[in-house]
Amino acid sequence: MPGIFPKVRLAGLFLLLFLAFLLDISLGSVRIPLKEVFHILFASPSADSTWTFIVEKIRIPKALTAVLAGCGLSVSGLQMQTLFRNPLADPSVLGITAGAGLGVAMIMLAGGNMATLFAIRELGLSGSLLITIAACLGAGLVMILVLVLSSRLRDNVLMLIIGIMIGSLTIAVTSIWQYFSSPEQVKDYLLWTFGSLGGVTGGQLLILGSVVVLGLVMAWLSSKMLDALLLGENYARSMGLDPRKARLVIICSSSLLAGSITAFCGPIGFVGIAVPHITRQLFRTSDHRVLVPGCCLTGALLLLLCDTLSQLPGSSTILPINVITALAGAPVVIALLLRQKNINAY
Amino acid sequence: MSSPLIQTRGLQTGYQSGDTTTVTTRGPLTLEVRRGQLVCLIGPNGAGKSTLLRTIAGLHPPLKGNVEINGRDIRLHTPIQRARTVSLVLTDRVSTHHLDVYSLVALGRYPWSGWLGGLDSRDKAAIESAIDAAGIRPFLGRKIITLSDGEHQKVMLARALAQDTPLLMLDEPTAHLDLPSRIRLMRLLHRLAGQTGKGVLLSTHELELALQVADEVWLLQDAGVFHHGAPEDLVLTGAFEAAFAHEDIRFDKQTGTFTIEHENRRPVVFSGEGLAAQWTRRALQREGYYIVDSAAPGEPPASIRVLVEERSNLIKWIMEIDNKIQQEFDTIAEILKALRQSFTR
Repeated sequence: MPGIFPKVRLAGLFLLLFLAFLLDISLGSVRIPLKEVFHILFASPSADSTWTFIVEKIRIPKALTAVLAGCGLSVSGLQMQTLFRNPLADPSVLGITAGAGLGVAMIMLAGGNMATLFAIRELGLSGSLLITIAACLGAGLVMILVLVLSSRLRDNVLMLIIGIMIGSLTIAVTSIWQYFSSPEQVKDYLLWTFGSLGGVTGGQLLILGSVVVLGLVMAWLSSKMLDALLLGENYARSMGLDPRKARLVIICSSSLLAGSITAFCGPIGFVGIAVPHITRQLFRTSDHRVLVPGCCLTGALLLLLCDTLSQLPGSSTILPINVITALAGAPVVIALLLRQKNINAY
Repeated sequence: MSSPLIQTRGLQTGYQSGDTTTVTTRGPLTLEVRRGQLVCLIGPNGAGKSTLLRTIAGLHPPLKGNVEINGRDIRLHTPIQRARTVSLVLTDRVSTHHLDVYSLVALGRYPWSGWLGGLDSRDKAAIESAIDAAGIRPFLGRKIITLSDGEHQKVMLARALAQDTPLLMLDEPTAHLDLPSRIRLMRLLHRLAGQTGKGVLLSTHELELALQVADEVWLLQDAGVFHHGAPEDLVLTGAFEAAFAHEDIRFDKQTGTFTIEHENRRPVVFSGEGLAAQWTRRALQREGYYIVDSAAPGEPPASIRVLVEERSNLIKWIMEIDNKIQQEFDTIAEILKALRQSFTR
């Protein structure tokens, strides 16, 4: 019974998200007072032009990336958990993220090729644009493969197994590449797998933003189908759900979200599996019209807080985002699930 | 007479996987369900009841022939059109964690509600009347996983009623229910068919209940043999007996019930009258005795006699063996125990 309760919670979360956004911009290796942050965000440029530069060129794009990635990965995880009726499903189960990884590995580990090396040096930021394009291609190809296979299958469980198999295959190919590469190249690749929210700026941020928003709109429109799928595929079909169409829409939006975010930020783990569980606990509902926006807000909030932590306030060290999401998130999920005393939580 | 809600023509059901075809109902079946009719599909485990139901509901493709809804092949309907005609209650248990009863019933409006599943006043009215018809208002606010099997079944029925279809199909709705719930559910379905004019098709193992409420019985026998007709006709033609024929089960045409045939049966001479005698008779049958008339010629002489006597409002059970030992007991349990002991000795 959708009442006032979810709306209050959503509004509360939105407020927290706003605060976390400000905090994320304010804290870092250079601490900028909140008052100044406000000033730069909503009024004129600050007196200190360095602060203005840091906020506008580095911190706002990074915080926006955190919001986009948090929304996208959480909603993608929610869709996968409902589609496959499996509490352990996350955006990586379809092999899309592994596809992005393969694309990146191809560029980084084929670095022996002079042309590639040159391109990486020339494009700057360790060739992030080239890497992003490669990751997009890898994710896109796997996504097309998964979509083609999904239209031929009757069963969602088969789809899950095939997705995991595609992921394993892709990772195996990446491993072959790693095996024959120099330690430096492998280290570069390893650093990419730690994930990073920085480095997505300007035009790239616009592209990421558009794809994620498209994926989120599709996910929102699929919420009725997701609700029906909660009763199992047989009931869903008896109520008029077209299972192939539903699978296509859900997998398409989920892959757009996971693929684009992994391509731009690297494989950020944990958010996709944990946030849906946290959100269900928070809203005590299975209604996807509440859970989709709920996951967006919770996911964005979690990733912003993790990003703030990863900059180790007061120091100039930055930890990889993947480390923080798992370190900070895992205890939260364990605590929530223990309170619930039932692992069958999707 | 109105046209049938659903009609099968030359239907054969089964599974096709790769090159192997498994036929579950050979057919060809020509069947129909009309408005206001309650049809019970009966058959032993594994006879293909669920497959037939799923095929008729359009969830499973037929091997041969077709199924028609309102005179049009079911495969020509869109999923939504089909869902507006046939609603289904399955044996699947829903175990989603945070799903509450009202939301689940509301999901029944899926084929009618808008893009995002928004409910208008007509949807809400349908949900409310489904809740009342199924009698689930007392546990409306609870989560699905906290429901007992019987409550769960009622909620799934309410969901199907909210779907507001002329045809309602239920796969073994009485499984997992206790006897009063089974009877109440069958009575409810019978009333629904009669009052709202819905066609109801259900599969069940409850022969005795089916005999009392069904307008028509579809009897599925092993090896794909199929009978259909009024339940009483099927009893008289012996189709019932044949469908469940088994060496240790006997169908009693007089009472319409099945009785278990025991091995190593022993004769007993029994006398007594009234309710106590009737239940003693059942107890003896359960223990593997069959009752013989002491005076009947040609019967092997029974060495055991059991008598039930009522003396000044007290019931006494008396056992005699070989006309020698005579003992008196106060309960059926005691006399059965003594009988057992006298034979192991």
